[in-house]
Amino acid sequence: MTKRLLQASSLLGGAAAAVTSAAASICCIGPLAIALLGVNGAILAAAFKPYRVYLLSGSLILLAGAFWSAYRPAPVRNGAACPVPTGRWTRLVLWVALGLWIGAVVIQYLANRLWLKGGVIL
Amino acid sequence: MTLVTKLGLIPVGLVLALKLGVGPGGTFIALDGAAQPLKNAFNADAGKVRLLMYVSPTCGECLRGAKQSQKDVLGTIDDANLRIYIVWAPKNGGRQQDVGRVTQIVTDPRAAQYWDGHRVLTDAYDRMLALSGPCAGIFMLYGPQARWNGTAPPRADYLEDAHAHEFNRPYPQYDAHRLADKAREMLNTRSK
Repeated sequence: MTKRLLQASSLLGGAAAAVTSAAASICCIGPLAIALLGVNGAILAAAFKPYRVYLLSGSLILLAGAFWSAYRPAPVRNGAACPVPTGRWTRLVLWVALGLWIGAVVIQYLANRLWLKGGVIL
Repeated sequence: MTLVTKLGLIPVGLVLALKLGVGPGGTFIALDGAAQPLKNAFNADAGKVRLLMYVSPTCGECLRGAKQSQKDVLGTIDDANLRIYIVWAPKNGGRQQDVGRVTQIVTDPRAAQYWDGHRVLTDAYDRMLALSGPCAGIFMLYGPQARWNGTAPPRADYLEDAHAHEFNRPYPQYDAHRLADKAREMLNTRSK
């Protein structure tokens, strides 16, 4: 039960981080955003644009919490022979989420640099 | 299936989404190198107030602006003396195949939609308005007296910019309610 709770919280943190970081940058990536989100999704994503910094900050906090939860030394539970480790999939999701977060920040940075020079994006 | 194979499917899925993401086509006119169809319509509508939306089909803010215009401007002004042209610009990676589905955002029968594949208006407005940034997102109002004589479109009598804050452009930030008020004011002036 505790193991599942631990995994669920890590997974939830990772997934939330992935979704928020992706949402924060997806409104900047043109045709791909429209293809993936559809017209209404892209319009909705645009509504989140002013909150991009808060979304990225919030998702970083969530990610940090999820990593702490997944990688902290697991305490020995009553009745268990050894500590209950966090699952391999949970950790994989977390790393993917971190990759997405970094991708979102990099896209944002590149977009600002290229766009403000009148360049083309993705 | 190995983990590497599964992860390898992600980019394949993204590419497929790009291919399949092209939506069903709405009605729009692909402009030629002189933008003649739009120029003709614009001049034929002289004497009316004209709203021209210069937007990109792959820019969320532009799409949002167009949707707000449909709801708060066109939906509230039931006047046949208002004409609407939506010019979809090849900006922010926008392609002709992206235009079909976005034409369904503005459904008003007074509106005509165009794809500026030859960048006639795109280059003209970018130069005229000194637009920085990758997106268009300009909503322009032309008074009844405006005529398009040269190769470039005339300067708008009033405009708002969906990206004014984002790209530090020196225009009023787009606000559909304010644009609607301005359009009403121009229509009232016209009828006096």
